[in-house]
Amino acid sequence: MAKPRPLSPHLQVYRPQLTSVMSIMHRASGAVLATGSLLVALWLVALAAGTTAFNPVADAIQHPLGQLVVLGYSLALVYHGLNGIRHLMWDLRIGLEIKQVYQSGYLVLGLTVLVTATLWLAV
Amino acid sequence: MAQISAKYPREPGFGHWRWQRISAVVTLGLMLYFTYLVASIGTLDYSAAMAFVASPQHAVALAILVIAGLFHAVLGVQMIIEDYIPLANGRLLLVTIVRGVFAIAAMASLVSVVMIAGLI
Repeated sequence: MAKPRPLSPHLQVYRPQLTSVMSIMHRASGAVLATGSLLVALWLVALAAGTTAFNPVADAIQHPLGQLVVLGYSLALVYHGLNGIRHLMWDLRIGLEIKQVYQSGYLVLGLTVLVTATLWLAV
Repeated sequence: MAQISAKYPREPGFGHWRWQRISAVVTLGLMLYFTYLVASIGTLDYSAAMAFVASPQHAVALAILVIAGLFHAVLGVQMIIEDYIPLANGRLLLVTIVRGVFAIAAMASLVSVVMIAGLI
């Protein structure tokens, strides 16, 4: 067989830049959210099933490691949401100049930390 | 968008692209609400969690989140699989399995929300 065709995206060939790193972070956070949403589904099913099913789940969430998972999930959620707005704006042809792309990129990174921290402190 | 769909009426990726954005906008509308819920999920014991999900406005919000969010997730995971898994290595089977898993998760979540809300 001939040499296999390369698969996109070719992550190894490019020097990392804010644009490419944030793009792959969007995908990675999406994968985290997809996996985590199955855990949210588990939480709902356990809740409907009753205390014997729910209490171990609640204990796992309250465990420091569980809280770390929940913190990671909420960071991924806020980043993917904010960067998703950025992507939707690009679809509307807004902010496509390279300077604007960098500005919105730094804005999304800053807001991700700010919004996540605010929500966790508000709880 | 109308011009594009008129030019390529059967472009197979267009439906995926459009639904990914529709589900994104719906999920975005509930983004802050859901993030706050996630951040506070550790503070909810059984009775507090039941009271929360059972209130009609939260049950409706959760149902919308489950449908739009898991639909968005399955479209995204499909895209990742199609980018990295060659067709010869079981890409189609993998996409089908992922769809099945998320469909089951969505149905189980919806049934749970409805049960907790006391509608059945």
